[in-house]
Amino acid sequence: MMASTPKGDLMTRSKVGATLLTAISAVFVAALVSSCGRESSGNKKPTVAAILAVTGGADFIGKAERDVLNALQRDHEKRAGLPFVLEIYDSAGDPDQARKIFDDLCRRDEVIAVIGPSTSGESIPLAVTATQRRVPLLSLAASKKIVVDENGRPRDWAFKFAQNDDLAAQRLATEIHGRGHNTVAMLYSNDAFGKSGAEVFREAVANSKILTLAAAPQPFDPAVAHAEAIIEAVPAGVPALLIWGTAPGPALLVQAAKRLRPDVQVYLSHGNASPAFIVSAGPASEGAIVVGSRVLLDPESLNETIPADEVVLQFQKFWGSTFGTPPSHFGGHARDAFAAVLRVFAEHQAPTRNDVRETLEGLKGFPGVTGSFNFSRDDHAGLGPDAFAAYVIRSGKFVPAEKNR
Amino acid sequence: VSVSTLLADIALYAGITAVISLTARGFRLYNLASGAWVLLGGWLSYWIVSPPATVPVDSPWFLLTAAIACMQVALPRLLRRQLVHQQIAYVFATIGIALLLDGAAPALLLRSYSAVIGLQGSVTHDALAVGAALAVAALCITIMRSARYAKAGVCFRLDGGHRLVAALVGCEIVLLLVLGAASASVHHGLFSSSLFWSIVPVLALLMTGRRPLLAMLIAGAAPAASYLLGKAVPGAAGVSMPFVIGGLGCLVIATSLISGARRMGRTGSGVALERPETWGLRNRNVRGLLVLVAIGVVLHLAFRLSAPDSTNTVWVTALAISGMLVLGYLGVFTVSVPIVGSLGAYVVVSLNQWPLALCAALILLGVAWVSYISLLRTMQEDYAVVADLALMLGIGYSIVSSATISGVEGIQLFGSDHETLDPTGWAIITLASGAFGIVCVYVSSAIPNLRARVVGLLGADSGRAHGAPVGLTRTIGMSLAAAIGIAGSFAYYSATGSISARSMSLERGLAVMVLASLMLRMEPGAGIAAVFVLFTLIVEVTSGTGTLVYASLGLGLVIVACLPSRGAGVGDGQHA
Repeated sequence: MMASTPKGDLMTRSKVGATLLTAISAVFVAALVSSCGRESSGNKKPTVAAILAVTGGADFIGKAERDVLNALQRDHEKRAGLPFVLEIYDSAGDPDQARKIFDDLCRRDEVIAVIGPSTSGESIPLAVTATQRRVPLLSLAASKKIVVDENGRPRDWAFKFAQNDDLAAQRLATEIHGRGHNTVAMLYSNDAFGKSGAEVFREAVANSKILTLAAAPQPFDPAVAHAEAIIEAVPAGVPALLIWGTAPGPALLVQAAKRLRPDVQVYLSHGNASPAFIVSAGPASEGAIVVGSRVLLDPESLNETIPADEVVLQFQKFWGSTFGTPPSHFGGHARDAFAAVLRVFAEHQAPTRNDVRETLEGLKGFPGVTGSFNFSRDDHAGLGPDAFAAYVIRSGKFVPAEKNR
Repeated sequence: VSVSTLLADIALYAGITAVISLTARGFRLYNLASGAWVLLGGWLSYWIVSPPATVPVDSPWFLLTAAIACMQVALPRLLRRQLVHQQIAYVFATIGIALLLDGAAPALLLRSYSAVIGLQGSVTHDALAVGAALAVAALCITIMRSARYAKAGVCFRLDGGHRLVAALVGCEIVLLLVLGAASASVHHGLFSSSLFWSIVPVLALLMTGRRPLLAMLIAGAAPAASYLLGKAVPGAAGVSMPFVIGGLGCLVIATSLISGARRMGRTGSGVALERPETWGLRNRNVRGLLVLVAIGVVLHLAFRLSAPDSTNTVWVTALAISGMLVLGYLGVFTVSVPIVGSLGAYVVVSLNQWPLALCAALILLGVAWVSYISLLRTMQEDYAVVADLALMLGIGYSIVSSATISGVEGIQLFGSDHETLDPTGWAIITLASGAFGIVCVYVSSAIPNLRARVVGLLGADSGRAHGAPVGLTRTIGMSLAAAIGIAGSFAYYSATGSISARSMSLERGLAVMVLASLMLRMEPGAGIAAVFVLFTLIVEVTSGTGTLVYASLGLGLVIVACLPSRGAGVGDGQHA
């Protein structure tokens, strides 16, 4: 045993004290350097940050968005150079993670706008914070609640480049009724996207006055493990089933529906308008009807002389030459947000956060892949019902639904 | 649900039970990674038989899974000394492998985290699954009835025959892959549900005293029970399996109590009093301890300041300290700490307007947890570990399922105007938690003296001499662990601004126990520093996101399980 003496203890304590003092000093020096760095950020190049769900359950959305932003950045840097620094952060689709990243970005003066997040669950709380912190948020998610508060008033600093989910609900209601189905059952994922979808679809059904819901919409866990049991709980005799959610739940539910209820027509929200969904659902997705952007249209059905079609064709070409796969509906949202930021820089040499907001509010007839944007002080979504098209899945491809009635 | 699908599901559970009986029956080694291998088998077959463009798999990563398979085959050799008396080390190691596979596969092997096997089930597919399960089960039973198998069991108990055990583990993995390949349309390759396929067969084996045929029947009954539950309660359709698993966990505890499979002498042996020196802060350790803590804090802060998206190190450290107390004082491996901590934080948030109700609810929660831990202490380790996993899986998923059914997603703690902490706030919290860790070490070293004094007051000299009774230490240890768990959880939720059912995950419980084990392998202060550094590094290396954090912790658990035991061991000398 080592004998300890008061002197030894004293020496040990003094050394411990010195060590702790050094450690604490190091911490505060680091904090000081860090904060000094931030204070002097006034001279830095303007920065546009993107918060995307590159990993996690929504990675099929976030990866496409990240890839498009990276490709556009490379493309512009090769040509004229990009007037801003683009920083991409991964939120893993987690609202807490997204919020922390956003809070840190808000503290940096050089950050003039934030693109994203990818999902509604992240975007809704961030839209609230963006309004409080007066930072432009260019969300890539669908929920109408991102741009409108609980009292129906627009959120001044939140914009979105994905179609509102109420437009998707209206489009789906029209399509369901157009196919002669007057009763529909609904399943939705128990997340912000699904809940918001259930809410707007209820409204769309109420407005249609012809369509009725077979039962109250049923929530399902986003990572559903036993899909067949959920399909079996759908009321018998229902001719149409609407599944509103993102992967992997809908893919499994579509497989189960095809097997247990082959006579039911399956309808899907824009959360599944991606080639990744067709791969996941496999042959079971044949015949399912999906609403999505016009970017999924066959190039032959687009007209190069129409500005709205021209931008879609250009994006399809860009995507095909860069990635060699069918274009992504979600990638289109990121492209539109990026193009809108470029428009801001075209109008202002060194734009501030307020310049970004004002320029975006002034965009009229702005041609995007997702549709023609007409923003205003009261409308921060900017798209109309024509931003959605209905598709039927045939031979693993999205085919316009009108041709397949 | 179609009859053929249900039959295929039943056959798959029964088949997995037969396969893992190979090492469980003769050697008492429970493979808790079986579900992950089954799912991997499904992806492997899907990759082989389907056109490459239609399969969302990055094939080179299959090599990584081959390396993990080799690691599991090598485990009997690596754990040779421990396995003679502590077969539970194999359970921990296979939990680590399950975490590693479930974490790494969706992130690295699959192109999308949410990809599923795109096979639409058919009667032919189901018949194939049932046929494969029957053939595999018949093969396993034939092997188990052979004389060589019986001989290997005897050799193993005499500290030998590890090569044959390793061969059996390899055979087990191959058969699980075959089962998974034939049943791809049943399990869909969804890694987030792999624990279902792993834990039900082990529970069935424990309930039946490792009798394969009976265990196969019970495991096969689980999906049928899940289906019936979904039928009876439509809201539970699709989320009923966790309830069934929780029920099976209760049955395992009941079976253990009825059959008398208790851990004899466990309650009579001293815990902290046996080895106060290890827990005490000897003078020569003080400097090293404080230096390590300081280094840990500084490193953490450096990462914290430079990377704003890493968050929960403080929370994990607090939970690891409480896990260390539970593991160290009580010798109980439990993954319940974060779930109890989250429930406590939730109670504080929900009832803060009513102090009396808040106190009553916290006391009730504390009593329930102390009773639960005490119950686990009376059971054999294998029963206790697996029953704990099953119950916590049941409770955790039940909370999530209840949230799904009721439509509650999360609760904002401070309203929508709450801001997350800035770097200075994090710096203060980190420094405070470092100091908190040091206080915990001091308190833990003070408790044995406190207990000795109380025991002396009661005149229980003989108990003191033999290190018993330990009731007071247990109570103090558990209260402290519960308080730290709740405080840590509350700190985390305060920092993030919201509390949700999904944060009460089993993986976090396992992560906490990995870190707690690590802390026990070292001096407590060095352990705290190591947890700070390790968790920060893991979060940074994996960008703090996705399932790679859990994959890293899974690897950590395998390594911790393979480390040699320290002296008298942890707790009662039987847990590692």
